Amino acid sequence: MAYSASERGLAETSAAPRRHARFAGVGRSWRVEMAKLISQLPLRILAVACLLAPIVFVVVINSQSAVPADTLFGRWVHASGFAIPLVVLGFAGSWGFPVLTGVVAGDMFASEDRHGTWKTLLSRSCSRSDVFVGKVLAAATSVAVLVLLLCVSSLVAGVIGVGAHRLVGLSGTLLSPGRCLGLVLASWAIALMPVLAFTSLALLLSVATRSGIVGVLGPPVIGTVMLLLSLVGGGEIVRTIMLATAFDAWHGLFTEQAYLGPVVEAAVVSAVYAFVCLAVAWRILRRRDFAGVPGGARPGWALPTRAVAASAAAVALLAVLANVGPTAITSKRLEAAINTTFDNLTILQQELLGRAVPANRSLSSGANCRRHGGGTSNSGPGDDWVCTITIVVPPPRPDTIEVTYDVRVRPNGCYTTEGPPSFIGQRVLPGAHGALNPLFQFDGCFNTT
Amino acid sequence: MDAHGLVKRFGEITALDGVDVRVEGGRVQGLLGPNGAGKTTLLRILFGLVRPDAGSVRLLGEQLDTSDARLPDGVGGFVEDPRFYPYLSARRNLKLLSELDEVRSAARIGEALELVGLADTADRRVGGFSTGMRQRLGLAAALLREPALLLLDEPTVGLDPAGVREMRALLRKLADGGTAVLLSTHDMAEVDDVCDGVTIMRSGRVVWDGTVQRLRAEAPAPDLRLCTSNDARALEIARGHMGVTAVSDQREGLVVSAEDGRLDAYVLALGQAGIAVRRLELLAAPLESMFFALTGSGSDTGAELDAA
Repeated sequence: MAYSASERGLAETSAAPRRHARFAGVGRSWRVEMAKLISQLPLRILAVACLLAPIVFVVVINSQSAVPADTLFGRWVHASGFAIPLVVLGFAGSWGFPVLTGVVAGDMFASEDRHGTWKTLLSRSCSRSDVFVGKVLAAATSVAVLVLLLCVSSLVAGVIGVGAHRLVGLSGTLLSPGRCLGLVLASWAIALMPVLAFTSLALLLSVATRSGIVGVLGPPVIGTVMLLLSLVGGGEIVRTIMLATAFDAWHGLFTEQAYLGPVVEAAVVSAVYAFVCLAVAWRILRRRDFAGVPGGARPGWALPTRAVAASAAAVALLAVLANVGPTAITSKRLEAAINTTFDNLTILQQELLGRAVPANRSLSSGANCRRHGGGTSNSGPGDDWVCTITIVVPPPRPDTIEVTYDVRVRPNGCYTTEGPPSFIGQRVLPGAHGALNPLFQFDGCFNTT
Repeated sequence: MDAHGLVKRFGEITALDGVDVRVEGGRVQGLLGPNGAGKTTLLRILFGLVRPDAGSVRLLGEQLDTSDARLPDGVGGFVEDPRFYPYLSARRNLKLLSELDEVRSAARIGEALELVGLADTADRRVGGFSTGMRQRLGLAAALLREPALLLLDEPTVGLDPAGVREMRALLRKLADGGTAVLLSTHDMAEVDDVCDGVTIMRSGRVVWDGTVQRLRAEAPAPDLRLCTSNDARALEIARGHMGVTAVSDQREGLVVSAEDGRLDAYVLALGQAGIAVRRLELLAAPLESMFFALTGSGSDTGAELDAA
């Protein structure tokens, strides 16, 4: 042998230096992957989009009276700047985050195949595991930075463009600006969990298919399918395991009695997705031979066809199973939530109208909810819920008033009500400097775990 | 470098079937074989890109871990055409690769670029590079690792004649400095010019291994094209000469094969018979003839190999 191990300093090493060498290899790989990502146009475009999109959104919102009322907190975008990052978070959770993760991570491994650079990369002083972990960490870092950029940009745009005013929470209580700031940041931090899980999914697609197109488009397509699956049925089992539903986990922070069950669920589901995706991706990469196309054989359509057929079958099965299992949407939960919210908003409405409301005063009311077309089953999501709220007016003019709201309840436990203007009043309160009538339409959420 | 008993199968195709190759410091070992002989698969195994089904590899005294291979420091080179990130400049590519090796010397990158003749184009994007420029950059990337073992796959492909000469001179210089070089090539002239030893492969097996001098000594008499004023008569005369084989060539003249002494006698006999020798040219050099004999390749294959 021309060179002995000792001559080249390659003698047996103890576990600690080997571990150090491993971390050093991962660190070098991470730095290189970050440098490559930053050099590429798609990431730069995404960064600019994350920075500018919230600003454009605020400018557009301020130039018109219409509001994105279909989104949680959308009706408050003119009233509080803190509604802006929450609306952006709602939009991003539906499709923005899966697109973002696809663009950042979906081409991470496939681009090495496209450029033929695997052999270049693996012919240096880094092992496959170093390269794999470096790429995963670089993708996670980039995605986290982009999410942070979007969060900060929308928060700053909202505060500057609309104002750091108090925000009406999901139980009808007013949240102070300081509390809003904390809750907004916490909400975005919670959303980061499924974002990183989607990043893992994009990385898996990139490794498994070696196609940048599949890697980039896969997460938004899968995210949309998950969203649709979580909407088609009332069963909790399928909805819970759909990663896209984890983007709603932050809702519980904005209720009077904060509930963290969905946050825990989101953490578990995201961790399972991330672990499974990364474990499968690493197994594929570790076992792969970078041999070009041996024997002139070309990859056929058999495997992709089988994969598409298996995916379609899985989606169909999940769609069938979507109605299986108990539903978390029950009349009891809805009544409790809507009654609390109505009470709080009524007091808020009186304050906005300039009427004195004694401290700690609450309304004596009760709600009764049923489904219009639900037959005997008063449960499950739908837009056919009707809630009648009975208000007991105290002396000196005791009376009982009933007000009926049409209610749309979503599978994630959030609802939107629409009341009769004859009783509730118009959208804007008269003589309240253009303030919105909080009882005209209102949103709320309740715990589904 | 010591590879022992390497076996690799891709489905029903056996790419390597018990291959042993050894390269010592200060020597250039040529790796020869027709297309599909298994040369590239062997190099990919040495780089840890492909896992062998059987056998072992020691690089610079370190056993190559085939499950999660990390190429030992001091091993450099490239397999097939070197590839880089097309959206980055040559210098930036080298900078990132040297980062992976934990070499952060901008000066060394500059030296490597200078050495391979890319100093003037170092800041251009690699996406616009020709094959020859990528070959040069590949060598620069390999040199950054200060290789004690250099594994190269047809490094002169795409280079102009001056570039080929420079590359061969550089390889010789590195070997003279103590570097072990494994050079996969199709070019017999390159073997003759640069290599100390040769390993010839055919259908995944080593069919010959030894020094270039021994290969030359064992090489059969070269094939020559003979064009005369009367080819039919020249063919008759050849049949009467021991040790001279001649066949009529469809294209032109005769194809003659004989050792030097017997060829001299034959040519003199032609003159005595009043047959003018108009042209006598080498069809295949001795090393090429040996290569064709060992690998079972015909001269057409040889032409194809040369073209490659």
